[in-house]
Amino acid sequence: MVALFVVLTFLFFIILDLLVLKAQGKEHPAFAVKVFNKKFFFPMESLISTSHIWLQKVQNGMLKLGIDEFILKAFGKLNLIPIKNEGEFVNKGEPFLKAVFGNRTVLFRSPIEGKINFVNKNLTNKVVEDCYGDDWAIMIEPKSNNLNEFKKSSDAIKWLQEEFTRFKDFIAAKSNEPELAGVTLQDGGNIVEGVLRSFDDNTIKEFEEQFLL
Amino acid sequence: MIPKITFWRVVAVIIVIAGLYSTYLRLFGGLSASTNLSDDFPWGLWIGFDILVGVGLAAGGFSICAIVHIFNIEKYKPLARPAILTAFLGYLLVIFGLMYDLGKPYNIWHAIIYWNPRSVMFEVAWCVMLYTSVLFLEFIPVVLEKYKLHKLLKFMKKVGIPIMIVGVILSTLHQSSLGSLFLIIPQKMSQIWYSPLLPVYFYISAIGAGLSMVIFEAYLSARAFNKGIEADLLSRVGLISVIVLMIGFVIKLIDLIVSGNINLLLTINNYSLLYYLEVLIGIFIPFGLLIQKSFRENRRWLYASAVMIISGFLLNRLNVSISSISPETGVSYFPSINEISVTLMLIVLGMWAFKLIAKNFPVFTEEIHHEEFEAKLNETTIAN
Repeated sequence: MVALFVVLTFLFFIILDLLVLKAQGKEHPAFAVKVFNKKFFFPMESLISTSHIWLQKVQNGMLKLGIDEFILKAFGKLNLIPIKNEGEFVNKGEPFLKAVFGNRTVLFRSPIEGKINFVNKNLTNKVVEDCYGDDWAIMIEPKSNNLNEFKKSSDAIKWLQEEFTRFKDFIAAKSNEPELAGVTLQDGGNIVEGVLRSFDDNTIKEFEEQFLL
Repeated sequence: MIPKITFWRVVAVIIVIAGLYSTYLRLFGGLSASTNLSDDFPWGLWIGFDILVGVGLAAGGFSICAIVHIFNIEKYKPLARPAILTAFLGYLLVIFGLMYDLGKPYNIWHAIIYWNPRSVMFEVAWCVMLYTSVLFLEFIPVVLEKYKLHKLLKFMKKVGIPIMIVGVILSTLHQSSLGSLFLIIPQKMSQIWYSPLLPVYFYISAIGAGLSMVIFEAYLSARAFNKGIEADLLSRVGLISVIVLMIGFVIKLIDLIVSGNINLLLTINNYSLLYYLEVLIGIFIPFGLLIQKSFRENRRWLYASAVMIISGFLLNRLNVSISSISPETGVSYFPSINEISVTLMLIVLGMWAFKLIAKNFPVFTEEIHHEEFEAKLNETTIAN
């Protein structure tokens, strides 16, 4: 009877906690799945490149660079590691930033040529949360001031939405079993944030080739 | 700053106050004034739950450590620190809980000086002491990282693997030796649970349930810190957990058949029903669920399965240590309110300590250390 008493006490506290959450109108944070949908925010003063790197003019003609919200939602929790030092030169299309999620990585290419003047040292040991704010990656002194190829404001948001549609198709093609992505794509359902973490290394590599080059 | 009053905080404070009162009774009135234990039934809730269950559920620490650092499956790294902290606090509470049960707690140090190498309890005592020290060393890099003591951190990383191997060996000895404690009383135990293989069952079930405890702890942390969980990793941990438990069940089944004790399960009575309940909720239902990908990757089912596995484990340890002994001794036992309140207080103290440490130290951050960061920068510089 002691064994039953202990187990029932354990289950009593578990059920009581779920009832407390229900009474508070909250959901258990571990059960909450954030839906990756078409709603994107993009700062008015920033520009976006097709490699999912945003650029923003700062003082002395420098540009601040970082990853966009699309990447954050696709990978969920990630850390950023700039792979170039301050003072180094980076060519357009050259890897300059690494995102680490779990034990895997993806590389980001620079959308612009220039000299890296500052690296965001606060990124070390930090999970990216504020991708357009505190969690910028580098500041670069561009070789050219021509920024016409980049999109801004509503064009940038429209492009992110198009990328989302392309990404949804990519996931649907890669997911033999819909529950892998926590979605019913065929029924027009949504995908969840961090969906890419559920896929294998080959899919991540293909994502990198199709979305980050 | 005064903490916000919440339902669980009020419950926790009431539990701790009750526990402190029971502690007073235990210290100044002795075991007879505070427990329902007797010479005929000397091991009750404090041994059955605080020690046997506490140590078993702490096995998640060495299991995850072995997966990450010895088998080098690094993707489970984000689970390692919380698992080590859970194990470390679990062992400290085991020692703390043991002080209540010992007739003369102030003599606890005797095992260090007065050796009795033929006693299983001697092995248990030494394994607890050594493994708690190892867990402290395994956790210390988190503290060094917080205070940016890079030289010491570098040294600890160098000696980290041998320490972890020692930890796995000590855990193996310790988990199994808890089962060995019952090998000396075959005549007092129901043969449903007694077996010469008890040390093996204790070891296997501790690994299975310990891994489920990692899942349960992740959900508790998510609740406490309002954060997400590593669902993809935890679902794999759940699968490993049920496979290990099923292997343990198959060995037990063969053992029951070979020993002829399988007949005991064909007679329906309280003890066979308790055994069926133990394997049903602790092994069969979670196995049926987690073996299927769709259930395993569903956060609610994963949580429910972990709760079931832990419940089954609780039943197993308490069945071995209490239920199986009651019919043979002819003495009935039910814990006193003081025994219950002390046990609940230990759980609350463990949760408070976990929350306090996790709040102030990098327990949940993904491990990208300063040196690794610098090394990566250097590698890139050299490559260029």
